[in-house]
Amino acid sequence: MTQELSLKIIELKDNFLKFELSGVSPAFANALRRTLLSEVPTLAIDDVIITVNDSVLFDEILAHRLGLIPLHIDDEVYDILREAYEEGKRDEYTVSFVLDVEAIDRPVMVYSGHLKFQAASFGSLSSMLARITPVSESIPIVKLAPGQRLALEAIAKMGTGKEHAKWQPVATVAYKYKPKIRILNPKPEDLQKCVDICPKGVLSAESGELKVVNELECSLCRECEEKCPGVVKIGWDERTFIFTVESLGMISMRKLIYTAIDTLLKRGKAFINETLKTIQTSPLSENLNT
Amino acid sequence: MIIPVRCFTCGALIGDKWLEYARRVKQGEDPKRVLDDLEVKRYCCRRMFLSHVELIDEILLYEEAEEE
Repeated sequence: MTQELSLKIIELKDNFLKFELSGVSPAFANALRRTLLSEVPTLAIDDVIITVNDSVLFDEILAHRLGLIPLHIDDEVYDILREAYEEGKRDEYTVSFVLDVEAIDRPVMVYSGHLKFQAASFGSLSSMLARITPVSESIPIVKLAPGQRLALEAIAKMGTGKEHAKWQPVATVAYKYKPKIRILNPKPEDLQKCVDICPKGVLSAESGELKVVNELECSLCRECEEKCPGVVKIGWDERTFIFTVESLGMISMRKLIYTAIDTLLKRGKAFINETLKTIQTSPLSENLNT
Repeated sequence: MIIPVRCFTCGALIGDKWLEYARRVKQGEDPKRVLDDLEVKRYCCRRMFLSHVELIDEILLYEEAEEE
């Protein structure tokens, strides 16, 4: 029954990770998923001081759009910010940006790239410069008509997805059981039908033989079992999960996974400590001793 | 009015892909191909592009008239 915990990376790109996690319960897999979504702190614009806004969008809409811009921070700066956040010093560790754009003779689109790093409340300016930037330089914020001007100061703070989705470091995190496909005794005339019916292209028929070509792609829809009975048997491993994580590029994938696991661990420890404290201080514990 | 910064459903960044999408679709390319090229995979993000009407340019015309 108990299987050793193991993790295997299947695919890793800049903002995409697919891995196989085995030897855990669905509850643990879900805890990891939910931690990635809502417990990993990131940096996002939280306060906006608008000095001039002639644009067609209201101040609050602009502030909302600015908040949603994902900000990239490198690993070293992230460690400083995360530590401060966990100590409850989020309002002291801030990063500010300025934006000042004016349309003179033709309409001008204001992009996230127009946000200029101004200062960080920790560390010197030169060491922070270029370490905190919007993930993309070409996110439209607003378009200005000739004669209009937009000037503002934006202050970024740390936060988690639990508080507001703008702090969520990932777009999607999903997991599924690892599929296990068994080929039964198919009749030759059923083969092609079974291959065509699979929406994920999991099966292939070569020289009168049915083969499983990419088992991991199977979404466990069981269309093949239903439409051509007796050809394949779809099963899954209840202790192994295929995770797909798509990040927004705010922090590196390695840091993201590490922080999620670290947060989960810390909360587990805090829970044990609290429980022990409650047991020790409760009147019941005296009875236990005697 | 103007393209949202992120997908309403999943939160993926879409704002930075709009201008390329709009330009290529205007040139007659099939929206399906453009979205596939831009790696917009999920249907929640795809509908953000397909159903979006960029109105800001039309509103700016009135802003200009007001100034004159």
